[in-house]
Amino acid sequence: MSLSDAGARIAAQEARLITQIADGNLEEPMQELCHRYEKSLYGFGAHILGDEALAEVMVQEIFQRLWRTAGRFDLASDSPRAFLFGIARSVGAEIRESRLAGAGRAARESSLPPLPDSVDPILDALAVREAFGTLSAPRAEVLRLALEDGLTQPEIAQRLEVPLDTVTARALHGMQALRAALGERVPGERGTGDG
Amino acid sequence: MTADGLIDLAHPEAADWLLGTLEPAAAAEFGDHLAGCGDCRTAVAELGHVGRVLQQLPPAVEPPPDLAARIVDSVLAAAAGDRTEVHLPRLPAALLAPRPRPQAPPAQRPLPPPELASLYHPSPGTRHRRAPAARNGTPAPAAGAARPARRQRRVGRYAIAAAAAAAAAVGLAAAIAFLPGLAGTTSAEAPVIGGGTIGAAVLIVLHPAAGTTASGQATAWHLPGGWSVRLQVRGLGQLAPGQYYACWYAGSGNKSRHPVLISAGTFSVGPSGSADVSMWTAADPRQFRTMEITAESPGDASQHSRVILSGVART
Repeated sequence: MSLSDAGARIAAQEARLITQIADGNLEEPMQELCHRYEKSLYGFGAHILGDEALAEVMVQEIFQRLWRTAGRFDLASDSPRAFLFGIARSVGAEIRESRLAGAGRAARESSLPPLPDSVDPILDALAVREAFGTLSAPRAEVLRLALEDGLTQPEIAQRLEVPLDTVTARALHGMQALRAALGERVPGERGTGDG
Repeated sequence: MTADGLIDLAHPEAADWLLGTLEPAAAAEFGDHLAGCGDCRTAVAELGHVGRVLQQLPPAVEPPPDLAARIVDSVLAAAAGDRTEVHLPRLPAALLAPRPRPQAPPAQRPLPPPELASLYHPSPGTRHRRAPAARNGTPAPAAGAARPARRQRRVGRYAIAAAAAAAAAVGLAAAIAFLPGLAGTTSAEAPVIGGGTIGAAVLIVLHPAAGTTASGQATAWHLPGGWSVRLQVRGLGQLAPGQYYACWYAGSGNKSRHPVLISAGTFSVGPSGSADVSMWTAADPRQFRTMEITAESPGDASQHSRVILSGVART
């Protein structure tokens, strides 16, 4: 089974969950969607709001709104992930605006992270971070030593007492696996035939 | 898949370049190398994007472990409220106010903050009670703390609350009713939630006292003039006629071992046992960190109120 098949299957599953919510069957579909998305939505919120307490408020509000708007979900054309992150974008923007409203806007503006023109980079980062957890330990270790400790490939080889070629193979294959996660994030954008 | 074999042929410097670990001089050298090395060019072309993402990963954050459960609870509470009860007004205080002060639209003229200092002393709307024997970390004495009747005192609070509530936004609760078009909404045209300023949000997860199965949470937003509190509860028993639930903030006050209780409002639940209500209070949950939900009988000073739910603000 290819990655894009798996992505389409997950999307179909989640679409069913949203439809169930629209039909008033709340508890289990909500639990499942929370389980699947709270982490990435929370990360998204923390990133655009610069504050974890606000991120928590945001995630709660997203699911409240999911419940109230599930009826608008269009099985034929909406991707569940895009639907949820669409809500997340609105809620995040509203919370930012509320924080900025009133006097002292300029001062408060500097306390918020800049809102990017597009949320794609944030979603990419979340997808990659999530996928990082699925890498094999040797690949993850090599990438971590490079990204966190700034070690070069020869330095990593020395540190781990592993041949240089092996280190590089782990790094590149690890990145390849992460890139697949990016392809999954936006069905149809980088993958093929899973629209 | 496609390029596994080719990627294996790339030089170690390609991985360094992709992960940003090359010194500037070495990076320039690699640029020259790239012109003549197809294997490295393949690796860079394939993995350049993911490499940039990796180099700019934001710090990892983890949602609190009980967040999902609280979300599900709060949605179920809101749904139960919609289905089985007349929805409580978002601003009960405003509706109950005997003399609402005329107010300009909120965004233009926010109220000055109330005298917060007065909350630290016994005064109308606040009261002392004897510190229970165990006050360390277990904020809820299961029963027995005498809570005198205080209905009349609260009227004054409602007047303040109403004026402040009229001036301030109700926070996110109000935004739920408003649905922006999802597809076309960009940050530039995003709606503003009321006219208020959210300075801080504080969460209080409510845990049941022994012998009860209720659950709930409160979220407090700091707005000009005080705090908007959204309280969501489930599993509360329906009280006898004339009784009601009260929401209190408890803080340590300025007299040692005499916690101060400040009312954040009262409410009732229907047969569903759920409620989703917004209240207004001047009490700062960062100061008065314990929240208690009690069942009250008005006008009977001898009646002992029971603490049903309690929790401590996370700050």
